Amino acid sequence: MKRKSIFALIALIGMVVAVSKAMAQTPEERAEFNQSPSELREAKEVLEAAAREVARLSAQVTGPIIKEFYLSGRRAMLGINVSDGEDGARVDGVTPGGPAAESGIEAGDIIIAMDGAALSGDSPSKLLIAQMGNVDPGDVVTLALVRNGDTHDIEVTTREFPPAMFGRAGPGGRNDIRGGDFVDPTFNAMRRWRAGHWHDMELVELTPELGSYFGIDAGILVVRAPSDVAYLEDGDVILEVGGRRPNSTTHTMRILGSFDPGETLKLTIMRDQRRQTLEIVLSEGTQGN
Amino acid sequence: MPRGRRTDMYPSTEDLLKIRDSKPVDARAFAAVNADPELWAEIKRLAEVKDALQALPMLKPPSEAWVKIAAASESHPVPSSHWLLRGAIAATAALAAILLVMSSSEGPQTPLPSTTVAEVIGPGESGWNIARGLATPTYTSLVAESARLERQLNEIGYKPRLIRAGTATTITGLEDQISLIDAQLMYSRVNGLQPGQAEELQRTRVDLMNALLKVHHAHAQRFGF
Repeated sequence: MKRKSIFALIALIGMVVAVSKAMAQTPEERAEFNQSPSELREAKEVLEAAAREVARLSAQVTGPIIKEFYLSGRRAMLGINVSDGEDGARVDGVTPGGPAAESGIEAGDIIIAMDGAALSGDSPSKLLIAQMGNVDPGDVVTLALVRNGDTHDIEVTTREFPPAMFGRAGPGGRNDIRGGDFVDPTFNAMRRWRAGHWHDMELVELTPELGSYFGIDAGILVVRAPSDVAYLEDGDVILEVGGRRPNSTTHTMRILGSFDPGETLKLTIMRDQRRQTLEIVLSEGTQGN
Repeated sequence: MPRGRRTDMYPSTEDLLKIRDSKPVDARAFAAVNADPELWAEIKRLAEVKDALQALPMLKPPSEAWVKIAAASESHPVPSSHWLLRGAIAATAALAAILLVMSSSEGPQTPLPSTTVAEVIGPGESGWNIARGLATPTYTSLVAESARLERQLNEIGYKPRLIRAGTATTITGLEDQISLIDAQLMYSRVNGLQPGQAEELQRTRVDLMNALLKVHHAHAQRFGF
């Protein structure tokens, strides 16, 4: 009897929490909530909480540093964070999906040289940062690193920092920090994560076999077009987004998400064996999710 | 153990498990079970538990988890009389968590790699960080936890080909935020970060890595082929 009471109490608490959570949402949020797997919802909550935390820290300390770093023109990233080791710059973290991760660099590696220049002395990490000041996004750098006692040379193709870092930092964009005002770097990213009109689109990266069927060597196949964006159709293959060739499904969404409402998005697609370019003026809500 | 009609021998739990698994068992024990409907009901229940457990997906435990647990328990010996109470509390908490998850979501649930800051044991620390907010992990332990999560992410080794735009955007959002934190940790070294601020960034990084790992893991389980 006592045990049954405890079970009933726990179940009641669970129901109250679930119902109150659902009631706190707007109809749109509730619809999205019901469609999303639990881990996705949880991830979005973590993302928003993290964005607030990072924004707070940015405002306190790191924002001005990042602004200085950005204005200096040093915008090539490796996708790592490092600290000073005894013999070089120790990799403390590797950004998932970043250039270093794709080249196989791992946390714990000790970078002892970059492009043949040794990283030694009191602060190898500062030397690495200084070296990166001479690198443009897209440049390939060679890192000599020590892992488990063995030395390896690894080439990394650097990238530009993601737009989320600096807002929509394109020239003339409303969040172009080169215009003077530094915008909270998480501001735009937070908006991107809110439900938008791309969210139910389903994409597949073309394999060579699929590509030959469509008569192209690469692209992103739209398996399911977004339900409330009329421009795309099932079976379209996205070749370019805003003049950039997406190399993966996530890359596609990253590029789409870099456009603001009001901007015109040029989407080059293959439809019915014909290449064509769609011009889409993004309204509120058609931003990349 | 259910109490029913008895023969001259009462079967043990081990006997019941052998009968459940169709293994050789003492004839007297089998006769006793055969004569008691309540014992058959108990065997049926045990079989259902076994089936339910076997239906769970295989997951690798966090690396060196048992070593860490052993080290933690050695450094904090607990009187044995407390274990029962702690076990009961843990079981209740686990049950409450299951009920919460079941009542707030739809669809089949799969256990996910669950790691939190609370699981961090730093190389120089003597025990567990019991829970976030109750204990403060060191910067070193947070870096170690981040690295562990990165290894787990690499071990999944699955890159989604078919993906929903909403999921892709969440993944890129998580990666971009981690990228932002990494840049802040790296480039702020030039001008210096307060120790507390670096730890806050690392703590947030661990949370983001956890979320990213769960999304990838769930996607791999649902769509990996």
